[in-house]
Amino acid sequence: MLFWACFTSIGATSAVFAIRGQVIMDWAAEFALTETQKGDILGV
Amino acid sequence: MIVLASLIVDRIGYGRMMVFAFCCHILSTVILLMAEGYWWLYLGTFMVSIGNGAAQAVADPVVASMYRRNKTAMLNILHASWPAGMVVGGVVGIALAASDVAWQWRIAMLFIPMGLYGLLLVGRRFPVHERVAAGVSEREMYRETGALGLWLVLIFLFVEIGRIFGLPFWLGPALSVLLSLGFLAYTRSMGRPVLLFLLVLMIPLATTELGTDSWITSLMEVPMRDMAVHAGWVLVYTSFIMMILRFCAAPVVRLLTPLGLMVASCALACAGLISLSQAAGIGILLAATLYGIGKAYLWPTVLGIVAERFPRGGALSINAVSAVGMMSVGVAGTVFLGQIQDRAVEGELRDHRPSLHARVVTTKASAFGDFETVDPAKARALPAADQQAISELTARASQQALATSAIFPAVMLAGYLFLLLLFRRKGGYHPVELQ
Repeated sequence: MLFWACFTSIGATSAVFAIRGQVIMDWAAEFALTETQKGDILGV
Repeated sequence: MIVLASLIVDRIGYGRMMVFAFCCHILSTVILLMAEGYWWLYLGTFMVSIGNGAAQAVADPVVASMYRRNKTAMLNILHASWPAGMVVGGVVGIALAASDVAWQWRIAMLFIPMGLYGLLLVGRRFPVHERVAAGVSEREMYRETGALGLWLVLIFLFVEIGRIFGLPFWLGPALSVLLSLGFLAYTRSMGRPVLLFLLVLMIPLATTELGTDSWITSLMEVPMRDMAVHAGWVLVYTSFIMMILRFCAAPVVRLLTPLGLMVASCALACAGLISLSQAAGIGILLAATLYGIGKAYLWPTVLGIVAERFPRGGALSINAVSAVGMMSVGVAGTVFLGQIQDRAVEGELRDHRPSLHARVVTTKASAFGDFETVDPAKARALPAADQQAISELTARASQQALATSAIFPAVMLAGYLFLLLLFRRKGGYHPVELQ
């Protein structure tokens, strides 16, 4: 079970990346983000 | 965070570090949901990255400690979770793309995998790392990675921090040398040569695995669109291949040995990139599949080799490998790949449209020296027909430039062939077991 806890923790990490890539344009539109700010958020 | 966590994780315990990662993940998601502007978003994603680093700093050494006789295969299976998350996230994204769901709902969905791993952690007992169990001191652990190994981590870390905060370029290298000298004074070790060699090879490895992703995804958008398929399926497709291959790693590792698997993977990745540079239509999908197979095992297999050959290095050596990979791709890999593309486009313009070349090309400075590239502002000021010509030429040159990027897996191929022959001369590759 511990293995699957580690497995899911890394899966959650990659889901963050996937979802963040999907909503960045929504964030840019709602909060008037510049290209640099978008790059900063995606690059963290 | 991953390196910082590995320095102390054995002392504070894997369980506490994982709870810390969980709290960072939950808190960051709450911050993102309540975001009211750029700084909230930045703070939320920064907290996420701290949580990610802490989770990774625990997961790799814990799995290596749990499966001491089967480290490479089990680390491959553990890292099937990364493409699995991309598959689930990608499918959900495509499903929601057609509907008018607010971004807050997408972010809120992150509570599902986070809550799941939080639940799975309840009541679990974490193993003690085999280094600790064998009574190898922390100083001995630091000696394995050594001053040169730490410098490789710090140089990328400080250069990236300097870039974000606009600090003078010299400050990063200077600080990294200073801290590494302090580390040398404490450990009296430059690091194990093979481990240092593996750390250096992580730079082309990370560039091969992560740097070319967006490049290839955009290349595949046209054939996917021609097949009337949502472009997001590209990422789902390549991630799915990677997930299945990593799940099935055990027999492959047994058959080829970890170093043999690295040699085969590098050769396939090299062939895949060269095929991608020349493929058209559905052929791009086939070439991308070949490339996807080539890169699937790279990262977790290196973690396996480090865990098997350098168990005295504990959490630090295995996490230093991940850290060098993750940071080098942002600092050096993508910059170098971008220049390969820029130079290819500039060359194509000079050869085929010299009049356009004179109007839109400008000289820019970079860490790899001055180079000529298309100035986007000048290109936008051109008539529509010229803009279209530049756009088509850019697409063609970018695809052809993929062949140049095959230099990364080619360098790795040479490096791992060298290691394979080195170990063969020493009687073959065998995991080191601590007593």
